[in-house]
Amino acid sequence: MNVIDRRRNLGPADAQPLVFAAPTKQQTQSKNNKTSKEEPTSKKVFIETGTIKTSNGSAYLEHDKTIIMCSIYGPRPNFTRSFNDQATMKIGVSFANFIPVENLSIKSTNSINNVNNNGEAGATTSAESQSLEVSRNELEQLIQQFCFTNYQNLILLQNYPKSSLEIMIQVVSLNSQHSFIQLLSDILNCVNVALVDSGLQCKSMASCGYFKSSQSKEQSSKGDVELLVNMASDQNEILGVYCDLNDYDEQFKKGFEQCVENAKEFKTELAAYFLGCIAGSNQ
Amino acid sequence: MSKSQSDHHQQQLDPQTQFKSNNIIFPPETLARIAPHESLQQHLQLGLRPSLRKFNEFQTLDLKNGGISRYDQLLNDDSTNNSNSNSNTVLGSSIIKSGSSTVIMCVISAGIVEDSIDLVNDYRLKLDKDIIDSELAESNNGLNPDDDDAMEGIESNNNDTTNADKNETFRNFASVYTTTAINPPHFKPPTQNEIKLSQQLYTLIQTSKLIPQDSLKIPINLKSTTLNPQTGEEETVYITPQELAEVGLPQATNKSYHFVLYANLSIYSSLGDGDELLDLCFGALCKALKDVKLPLVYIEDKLSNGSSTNGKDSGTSSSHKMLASRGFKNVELFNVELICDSEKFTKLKLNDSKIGWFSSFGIYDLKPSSIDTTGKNNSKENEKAKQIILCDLEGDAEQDIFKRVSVLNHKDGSLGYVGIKSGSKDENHLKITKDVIQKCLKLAKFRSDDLLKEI
Repeated sequence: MNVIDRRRNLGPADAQPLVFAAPTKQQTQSKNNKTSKEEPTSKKVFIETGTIKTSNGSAYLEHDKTIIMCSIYGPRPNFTRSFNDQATMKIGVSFANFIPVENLSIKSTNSINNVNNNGEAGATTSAESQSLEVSRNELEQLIQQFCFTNYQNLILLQNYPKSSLEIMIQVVSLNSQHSFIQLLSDILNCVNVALVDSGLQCKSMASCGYFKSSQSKEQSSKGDVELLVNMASDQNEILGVYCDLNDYDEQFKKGFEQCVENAKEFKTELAAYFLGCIAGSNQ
Repeated sequence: MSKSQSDHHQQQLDPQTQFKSNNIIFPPETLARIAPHESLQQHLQLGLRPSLRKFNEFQTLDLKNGGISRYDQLLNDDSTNNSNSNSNTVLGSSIIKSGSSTVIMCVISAGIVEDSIDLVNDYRLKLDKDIIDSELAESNNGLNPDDDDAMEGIESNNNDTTNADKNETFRNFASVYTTTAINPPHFKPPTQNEIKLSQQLYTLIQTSKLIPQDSLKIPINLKSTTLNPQTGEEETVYITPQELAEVGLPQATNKSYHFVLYANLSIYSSLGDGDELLDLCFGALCKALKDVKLPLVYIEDKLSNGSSTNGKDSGTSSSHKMLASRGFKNVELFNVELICDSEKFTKLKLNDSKIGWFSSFGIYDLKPSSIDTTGKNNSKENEKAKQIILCDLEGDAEQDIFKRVSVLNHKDGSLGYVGIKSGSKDENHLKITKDVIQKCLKLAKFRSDDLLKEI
């Protein structure tokens, strides 16, 4: 089997990738001292719509050095032979080259190794295997699947027969301090905004809330609660829940409610932003 | 064209043109879609291009550093992002915005390759020049000896006698392995255009002698940790190869290594996907190369302990993964022993005088206006078509202009590459005249002088 990609100019096959040493303790300490003064507040999110002119809808989201771009193409005619009574949706996720994803996957599973399937109403939680190492492809597929189940229920696909929609997500830059779930919530929010920009018919505007319990030392044995809820906010319909929890106890309940709160809050922010856009364009 | 004007013309023109141009009137956007050539012709006759620019008007460009390389992030570090930047292997980046839409982002990373003896002491150098010449005559890829499947590299007027010299000199200059993606991500494998673009960029960088091979050489340091008796803290010391040589100790390793550079260009919301992207991509690549900082590489002192060994362990697995992600599978890696320091770096030394700007022009045969806007009789009927130069082609219609002149200007004023595509065998088309070429060269010089300040 030919394993070398001949269509890309990838350079010599025997090249070793760069391996960077972990920073020395001194450096980490000095930096930790600095940050201990600042409160770990949630960073601001920067969003812009309509960045990619050739697409039907696009959004750019920057959240503490994590940069995500989303572009939506469609509805376009679908030239498959069979008749489709509703639009087919494709989702493409890609991490830009040279972005290491190792930290991401390890972080997503390091607190709790066992991950369960979670069947919420109309929602799916994809489970990750116990192994710490998730390859780039697997990660992309995981995000793809999760997005697909989310947006299948949000976009009114039946209103676009014989056509196809493509949602392209690209992770341009990554703050690997962010956990996988945090990244996923950013991705979902980016797609949510791009969907509004595209003008596709949806049930309602969706927004995603993210919650992580404070990492106090006493709780660490139990594991931190980290989850996200993506919901169509007007109808209080939950599109997807993602978490890596063992048992669904009080903590989960609390986190869940917090997520819903966050999602609603984010939605009002977004609505204000879009109203501002309209007002701006009318002037 | 207003209704009354068109009525007026109906009486004067022959019936066929009447039907074509007057019976049906389309708004400009529709005409541009259904009959791009007609639309282009009509625009140009008015003295404007479909993009409403003038013929010789370039697009506005915005050229910046991308700010996503690991060293940028280290500088701006205001939070506990140590682990973050640690795994980031981006060494340089740039972003370029052209006109109102096209955005190109260029990201550069590197890998480490062991010098092969073949490269250092090439057998060809020892052979007679005749053999070299005949060998080169056989293979048409004279420009690029390392690459067997140079698919559609830059065509050059290869002169057989100078080819051997060329090859020897090019051997001393490196290039960047480029991948391009137009409107990423898409599900498809790279398109013909993307492959072509990547290869052209690779060849252009190599032939412009921008990156001397020597600047990619890795001086391999030895790392050692000592205890500072005064403070009681561990200190890291690097022993450079020069220091080793001075003391008369053997080098850290008897192998020599060099970096290979990878570039990844993402082109967003571009209207075209052809040659006109090469200008911008080349600019972005040069800008990013200027930004590249190469890390300090060392062989770890085996006795030292602590955090650095952890980094090494995770490194071996990550290198496998990175290879897999780049399409290489089942590759046996020998144990990685070269490690890059997380903060120390040197700037990549470039041949600054060879930084260039690539400009391409479209040559269009403008037929005299068939519609006389002054309302007089067609007195211009016998007038010949004239050639006009269009700068920075944009949009579908202009992309179909097949006559092109492309020029690469270096910073030192020399020309790196001049390409002239004269077009089809259509008997009506005009040959590109000397005047036009001269004018193109002038325009290219003007443009590059203007833009090279920013790179």
